[in-house]
Amino acid sequence: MMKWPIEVIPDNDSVYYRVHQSSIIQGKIIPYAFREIGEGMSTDWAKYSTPQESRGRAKNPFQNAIVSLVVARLKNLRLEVAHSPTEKNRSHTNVKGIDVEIRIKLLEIYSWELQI
Amino acid sequence: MNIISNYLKKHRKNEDLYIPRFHDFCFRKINPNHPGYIEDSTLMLKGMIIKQNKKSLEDKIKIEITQGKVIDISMKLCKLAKVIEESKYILKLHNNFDGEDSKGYQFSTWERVIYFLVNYFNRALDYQGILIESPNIYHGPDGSIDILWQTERYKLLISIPEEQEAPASFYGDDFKMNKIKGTFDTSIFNPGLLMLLSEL
Repeated sequence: MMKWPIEVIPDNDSVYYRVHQSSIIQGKIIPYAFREIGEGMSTDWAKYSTPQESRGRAKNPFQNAIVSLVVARLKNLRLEVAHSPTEKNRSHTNVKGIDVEIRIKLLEIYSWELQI
Repeated sequence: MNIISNYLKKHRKNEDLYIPRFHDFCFRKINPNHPGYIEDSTLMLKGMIIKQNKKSLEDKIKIEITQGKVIDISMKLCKLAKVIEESKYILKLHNNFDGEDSKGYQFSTWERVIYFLVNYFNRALDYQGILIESPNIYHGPDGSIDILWQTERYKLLISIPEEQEAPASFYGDDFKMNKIKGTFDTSIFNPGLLMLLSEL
């Protein structure tokens, strides 16, 4: 049985997303950064995570920056924001529905939380 | 890490010398009234051969794809030549280049991007008289390559997939009501994209 319940994430909340340094060129995030791997684009719900904790979950934390995305803005792009807690990470959230249109639009709505 | 940083660092290290020289050279070559105009010469800069054909009024830039394989483009497209040269960093990204199991890039994908861009820019210039603004070329998801235009007037992202037979996908808009989205065959000229790129 799952340790954590699946919750509905309020629109005003944010999720944190790790951006590897290979997705940052001349200080700017490139569209490659925003992509689905497996079940979706893996993010952390800010209710249960800090930017530092999100960075700490990376294989190489100091090669990763953290950005935040407001859930309402993701939903405005017709993205699904699905809380998907794991045993080790209650904040884990999948963002689904990313295509070429979404990748370029996400470049306009992220906010820096931690830079490399 | 990191191949990209190292490539750009190396590139930027030379940029102070390279870029102004290159653009100045472009300018001198296309302007016969410029005091530095060179009538007949061949010069290679960072893999690009700039050559003037005596019989032609217009200079050509030869872009080196691989050793011994070059393509000609108009000197008017010298900014595109620079973008293509910079995009060669993608060829150095192999499997797991980011330590997170990401897929590397095939030469054939990069080559397809370059041929698409050169053909498209040439066609727009030669047949429509339109000089398209140069994009940026970046590595994309799953071995694909992204071509990105971000200007004050419009944005456009074209994704060229690794599979050679698969169509490219794209999305663009002018930040207002005009949007284009779809797929296309990169070997066929798609005038729809030009509507956005040429400020029509």
